[in-house]
Amino acid sequence: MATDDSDLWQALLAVTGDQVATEADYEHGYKREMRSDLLRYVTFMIGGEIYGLPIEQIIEISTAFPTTPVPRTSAFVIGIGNMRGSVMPVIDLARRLNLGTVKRGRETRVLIVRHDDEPHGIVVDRVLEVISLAPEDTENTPGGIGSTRADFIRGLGRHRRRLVIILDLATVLAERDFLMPKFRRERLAQ
Amino acid sequence: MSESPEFISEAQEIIEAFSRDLLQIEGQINDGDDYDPDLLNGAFRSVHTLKGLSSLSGVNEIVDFSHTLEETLDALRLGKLPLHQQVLNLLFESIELFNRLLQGVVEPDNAVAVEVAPFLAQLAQLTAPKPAVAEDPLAWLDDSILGVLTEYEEHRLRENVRLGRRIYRVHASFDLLAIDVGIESLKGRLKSHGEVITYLPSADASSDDRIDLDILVGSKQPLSVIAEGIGEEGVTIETLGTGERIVITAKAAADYAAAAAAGSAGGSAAESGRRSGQAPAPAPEPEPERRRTRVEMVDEEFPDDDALNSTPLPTFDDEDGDGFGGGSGAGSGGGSGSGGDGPPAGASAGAGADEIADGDQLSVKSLSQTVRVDLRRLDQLMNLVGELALVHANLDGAVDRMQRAQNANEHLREFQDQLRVMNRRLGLLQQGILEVRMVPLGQVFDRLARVVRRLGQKLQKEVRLSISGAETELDKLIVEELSDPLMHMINNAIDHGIETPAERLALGKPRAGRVALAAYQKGNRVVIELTDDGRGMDWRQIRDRAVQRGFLSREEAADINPAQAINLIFTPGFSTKQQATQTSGRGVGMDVVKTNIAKLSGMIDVASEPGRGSRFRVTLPITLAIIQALVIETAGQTFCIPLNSVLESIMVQGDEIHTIEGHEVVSVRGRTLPLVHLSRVFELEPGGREAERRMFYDRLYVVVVGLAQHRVGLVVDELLGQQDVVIKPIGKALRQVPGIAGATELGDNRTVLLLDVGTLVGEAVGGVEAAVAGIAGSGREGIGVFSAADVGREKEHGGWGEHGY
Repeated sequence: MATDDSDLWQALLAVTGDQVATEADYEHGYKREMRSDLLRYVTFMIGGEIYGLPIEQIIEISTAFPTTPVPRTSAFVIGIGNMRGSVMPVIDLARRLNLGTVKRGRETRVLIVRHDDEPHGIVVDRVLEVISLAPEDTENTPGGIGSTRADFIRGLGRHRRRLVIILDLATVLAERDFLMPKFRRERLAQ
Repeated sequence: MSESPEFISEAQEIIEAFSRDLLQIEGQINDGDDYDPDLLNGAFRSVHTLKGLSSLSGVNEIVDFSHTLEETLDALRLGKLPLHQQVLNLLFESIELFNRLLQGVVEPDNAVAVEVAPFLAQLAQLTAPKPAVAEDPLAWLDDSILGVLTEYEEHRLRENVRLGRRIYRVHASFDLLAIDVGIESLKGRLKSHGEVITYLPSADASSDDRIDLDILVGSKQPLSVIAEGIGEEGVTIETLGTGERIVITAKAAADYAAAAAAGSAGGSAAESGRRSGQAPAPAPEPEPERRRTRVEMVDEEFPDDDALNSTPLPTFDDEDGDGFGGGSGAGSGGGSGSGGDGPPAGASAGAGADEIADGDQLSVKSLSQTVRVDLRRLDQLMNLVGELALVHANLDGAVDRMQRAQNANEHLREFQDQLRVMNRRLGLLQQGILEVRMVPLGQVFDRLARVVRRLGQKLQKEVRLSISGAETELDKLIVEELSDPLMHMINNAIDHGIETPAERLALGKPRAGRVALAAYQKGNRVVIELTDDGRGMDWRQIRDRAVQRGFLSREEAADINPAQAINLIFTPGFSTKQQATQTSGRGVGMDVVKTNIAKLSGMIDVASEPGRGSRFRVTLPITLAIIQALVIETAGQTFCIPLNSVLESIMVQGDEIHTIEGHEVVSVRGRTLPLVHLSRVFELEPGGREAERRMFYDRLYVVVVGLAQHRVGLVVDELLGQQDVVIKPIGKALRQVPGIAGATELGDNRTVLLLDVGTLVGEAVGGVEAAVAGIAGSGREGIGVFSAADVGREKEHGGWGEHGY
């Protein structure tokens, strides 16, 4: 019975030219979805390294849009940008991680992330794909990386034998770092 | 927020209505009148509604509290309890308790446990049953009337008799179809003569389409005057007890009407004609001095309540709850400490009351962020949106036709027409939405009336507050941000300004000090004036005090002018009081006022005359969300400056610029104006390039901006024009950037930064103007301007951005 039905479907699809999942596919997919502890990450490139952010922190991915520089802010702050009416700060992630600057090109993208209930734009070299990582494939930051960058790293993930550096958004977008140090002091003086 | 914002805002509104009623009752009692029982009814209803509302929302603390209060009010209303000052004080206290309970609902995390028990104990003591009055003064009354009265109506009847009023029965006949209008107009006229006790359906036979009513009225006036006042055909008025009666005939009515028009008949008819239809609503005029005499009188009546009054009044001065200074907690400690020498019961009561007072004084800001909107306004907005959708459809069609047409030009006109329509609609929509954000200033003024009352009591000064322009509308955000500065200013006016009654009499002034709050609209700004007729400020004294405190060196003091000296009151830490008191004198206050007002892009002016009083004038923009901005360009970057802080734009020749201690200044109409180069303070260009550019310009554009009392000239490259802009928040991270208030979009989809003039002026004045004015020496912050810490604090609290537009 079931085979008849699926034959019928395949025949129909042959006509329309579409593909449809077979029962076996469903089963496979079902099994995959069984694992509820998989976390999904958006991965992107900066200075030849692969970075990732949890997908739920990302609102959308946009092509580069014009920005307006804001005086008295740190070098990594590109300025403010306007995405469909909402104004947000936009930062250069490469600068933030001390990896030079993002060179704007055709593949440059802006990750619109939600942090502290507000949108922020993060400019990256290139966006790769969305991956799922199981907890056993990720590890906490190994000690001894020994750079200031270590603060920005929440963990390391392994995906298809490549290392994915998972960023800690709260540190990357720490409010106080946005200001140039001399204006920051003023604020702490109180 | 655990509870819905609707609950908070509605509860707060009810509490404010309750407070308004109480203030009016107190005002009437103080004026020696009998209070309007409708006000007490209103108060009762408010508490009742609040109880229902909170039980719907499951806020049990408020339910229980309002239930007890409701019972007391009911007893008051029914005359089971006499309403005297002591009860009123307790009722006012309950308002503070309600506010604190609400506060606890809004912020459950840092809620302080609100102690209602001491209050309830006091209330219970008051409500202890008193022996009933033995003789019945209503013995002469017809049983048929007495039998149908409710408990409340019977009480009012007794009350009227007790006050020596005569009771009239007004018999009127109404057309069934127009009965509501008829009764209202008759009631309005009767109310101006006395109190309407009840309406009774008449026993007399009446036709099918008419209804006859007997209205019981208590009044001091004789029958004839009332008859004149009613002046309506077919109404019979009878004095109960004597049987005297007047039937108003058509002719008599006409006569009375004529008399009223001519303004004769002892003026009373005319008077009633004018007043009919409007409920008597005297402005709330708290008059604390009378309170004490009242309390004494009450003491005789209630010897049992000694404990309540035993906390000696003067200790309030020493207890120092320092609520205005911003801290609290010291207040309760001081309260119980000083109460210790009284009887134990008194001590606890005193401490309780003090704590309650402190809690509220921290802020009179509203707890809710919601605005109530008239449905009609929303409907209008909805219509506008509908029309815009239509325009959109039309534009779509036009584009479609243009694409298909050989010659697009013929459709261009249509397109342009539609664009114009859209522009108009958008303008209306913008205006409509602005209106929705507007609330009357009265909301804050009402709360301030309460502050005045309490302060007057504490300081034992007589203060009469007069309010005008309470209906002036301002953006909700501004109104809220304004409440604290206004409260500080009122504190100062009463504490520093108004003299004690004895001093005032000695000076030949009226015994009660006058504090006036006036608001009015002036162009696209709103002006709020706070005037007092107290001591005023002597600029010499302020100057000397500043020298004493070390804000000013002797040399600097020598050539200071009066206006500059008076501005010293805005210096952080400055106070002319020898000793700090609970209400003021800690020197925080005027600088907070100035900071807050500058934050709202407002300006503040002070004028004062020793012995005659002071006047503070605050000028504010009507709204903050959409503002007019001056668009400027400097170093190739575009910025917007809020137009309400721009005084003028001038062009300055290069050789007009002088330097004082390295700071550039220019003389404008005899006044020295410090210059600030925007490109320099924002470091927009690497050094040298600016000088290069300067070579080409021998003239500079200078935008003169002013905030609070300071003026600074911003040097820019180009003035690009002015335009309405919508302010957008730039996010928490960038909000801290000093000098930037927000962002906005210009027409061509460019995002442009909006300057925070207050901070820029503050930064500049700290260095430049101080040097110009010769007030501040080196290494010290400027006088009466932002210190670095101030700027930081202001930014942290968010300035503009916090409000989320």
